[in-house]
Amino acid sequence: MEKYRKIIKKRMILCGILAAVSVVLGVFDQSEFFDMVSMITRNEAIAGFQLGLLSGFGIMALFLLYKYGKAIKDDTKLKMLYNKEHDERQNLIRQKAGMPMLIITSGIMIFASIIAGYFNEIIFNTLILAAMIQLALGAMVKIYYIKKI
Amino acid sequence: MNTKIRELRKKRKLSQEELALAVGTTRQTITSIEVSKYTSSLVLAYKIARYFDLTIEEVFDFTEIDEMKE
Repeated sequence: MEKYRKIIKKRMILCGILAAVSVVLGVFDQSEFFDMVSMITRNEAIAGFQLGLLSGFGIMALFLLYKYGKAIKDDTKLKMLYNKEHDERQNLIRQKAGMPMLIITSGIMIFASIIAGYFNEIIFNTLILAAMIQLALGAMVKIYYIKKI
Repeated sequence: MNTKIRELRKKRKLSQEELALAVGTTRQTITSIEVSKYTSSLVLAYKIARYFDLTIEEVFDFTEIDEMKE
């Protein structure tokens, strides 16, 4: 369990970095500095979405930080967390829902959409929609298998 | 696959959560195994049987598989 505790500590550091980066990018995104240095005028809706996404990442990082922080102080909670992550049934459900790759491809698509958002609105909308449909389908398949097995 | 996990648990006044924690799995998995929705791996079956100081055959009912073989 000590090895896992070290992994959790590393994850906490990463979450802290993610939260800090989200805040910095959020502030940068909202500041007038961005408009001054940028030659591109962004659509308001896209800018709002990007800010929302950054806020989402920040909140998620803080939530995980809290969750890991609680687990690291309590051995039972740490073991429960370990069991949950290594549970064979959960892993089977994740595999059946295509989860590891689905999350990676969706993440790449969302990241690409953020970049595309600075240049082309149609590409931004297409990528976001495709990523959302992909994630929704994955979630539906996952729910189906959670009930089935 | 039918199992005797529920009755063994009841005898020892053990909750699903406690058993799950002891054998390294989740409460949901124990529930699924108990209601025969999920067939556990050999490793988990071994851990559960060992926890109750029994053999795998004493905890898990293999008659269905034996009948299929015949």
